[in-house]
Amino acid sequence: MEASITFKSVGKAIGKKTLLADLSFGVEKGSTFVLIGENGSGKSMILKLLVGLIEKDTGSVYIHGQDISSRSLETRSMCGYMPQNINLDEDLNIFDNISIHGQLHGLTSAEAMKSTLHWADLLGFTKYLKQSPYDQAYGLQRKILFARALVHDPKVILLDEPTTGMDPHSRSTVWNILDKLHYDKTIIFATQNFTEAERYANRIAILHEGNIKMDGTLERLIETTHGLTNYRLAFSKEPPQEFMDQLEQFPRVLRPRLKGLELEFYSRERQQFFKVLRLALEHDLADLDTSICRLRDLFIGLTEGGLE
Amino acid sequence: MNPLLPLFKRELLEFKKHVFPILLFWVLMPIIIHTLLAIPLSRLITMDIRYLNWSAAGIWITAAGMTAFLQSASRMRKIQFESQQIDALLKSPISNIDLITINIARGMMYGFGQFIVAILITSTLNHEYLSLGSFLILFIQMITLILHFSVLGTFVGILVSNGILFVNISFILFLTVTMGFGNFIPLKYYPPSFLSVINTIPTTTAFENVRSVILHNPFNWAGFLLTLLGTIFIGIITLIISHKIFRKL
Repeated sequence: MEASITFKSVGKAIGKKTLLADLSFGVEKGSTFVLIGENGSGKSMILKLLVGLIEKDTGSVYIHGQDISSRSLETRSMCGYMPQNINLDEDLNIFDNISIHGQLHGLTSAEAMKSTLHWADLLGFTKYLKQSPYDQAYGLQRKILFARALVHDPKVILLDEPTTGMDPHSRSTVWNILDKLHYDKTIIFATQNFTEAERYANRIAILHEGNIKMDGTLERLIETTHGLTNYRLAFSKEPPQEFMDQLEQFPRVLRPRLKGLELEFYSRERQQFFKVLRLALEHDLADLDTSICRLRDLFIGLTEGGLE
Repeated sequence: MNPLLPLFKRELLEFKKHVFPILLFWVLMPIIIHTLLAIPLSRLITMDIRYLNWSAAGIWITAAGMTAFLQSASRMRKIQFESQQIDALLKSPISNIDLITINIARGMMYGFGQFIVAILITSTLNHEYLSLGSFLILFIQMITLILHFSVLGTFVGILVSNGILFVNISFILFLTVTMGFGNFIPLKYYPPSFLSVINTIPTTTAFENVRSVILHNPFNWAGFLLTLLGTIFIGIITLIISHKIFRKL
């Protein structure tokens, strides 16, 4: 597949703090790529770098074959960016907030009006168009930012935690729109919501301290765990320390952690689980749950020093 | 489409939204300067022509200059330090020079509006009317000064994030323009050592040129051109600084 976005050894530091470290990756045209990582891992920085809000120190970045440094006006016109924070213009109403941005991206006044009305209709805020964005609820302000990012029909859509603060209905509307758009657009979104990442992304990159720790399709990422399973046991009263000490004796029970009345651990072997279960039955076991490793588990493993 | 057009349209929409407070400010500013500064000083200062007619030039300069400065500086501070709108603008295919140009144009638009209202008010209060020729000369001189203050405001707006510091700078500028450049107190009242300093500043001559319209004196075009060059220089410095600040290098 043809590359839409290419990062080549990109580095960025502020003072002595490295924010992006020799970052290289590519995103194919027509794909949905998700960046997940803890706060400060560099997710937002990658998006800001693509739209020219931040300059890189080293390396090269290309959008549809054009260098973002030497052809910045062209590359910025290809992108639609939804930031994490609300930065709407308080002196303009919602309609003008979106329409002016369309015109800044080269739409005529009539085209911008048509597109603004189209997105307002799809996202369900037509009746608020003449009102100030700052008189609206946070979720609606996020939808306005989403419409503003899409008003000029960009080839590349960059979304920073797009559904944060939205109600379930709005979230579903946003994802339905993105689902329809992803065939001819490149979508990159940053999130901490693992369910949305698993459900909507073609490719997932786990970021940690400014670099990609793991990158691939969800299936490919899950494969790397080689059948690791997550077990959760719930107790009706807190098990004694003796029980936890006994668990330490099982070398193939990975990362056992007691949080309140719930014990969580990982293992690749069913037999290990049965051994723990037998012990747990002696200590007021109330419930249990097992699941194969998902993105959340991988993320915890990668960002907190590994599961094993 | 030229990105300056939607940016200018945005300024017009904001103007339309706040038109009544703006008009009120335009009317009150020259009246307050006339009442609280020019009238008391007219009882202390004696000169060949009527003081209130002479000080009208100071009212035009102070009112239009300060309006241009405050509008351009406060807008630049707002988008940069208060609302983070700078990110929303910079993600669009517009250059730093577009953003700075429109900010200067905004200051000029408000400053020029203030100048027109100030000239109408002082002409009415002093019963003195300018000929079309005098007005055209005055227009050329004033537009340069309004540009100068607008560029200065953009420069300050890019650099000064602290609100208290910005208020202090604006207050010092107001005092300097009203009291330091002979706009309300004739320069002959100042000590020679002070005059030797301010006479080296081209803006002093640009202010003098505006007063020359009332006095029907010849203009010092060198001072006018040097003010224009100084304005361009500050504009270039502002642009260079913007490359370091806007995209957070």
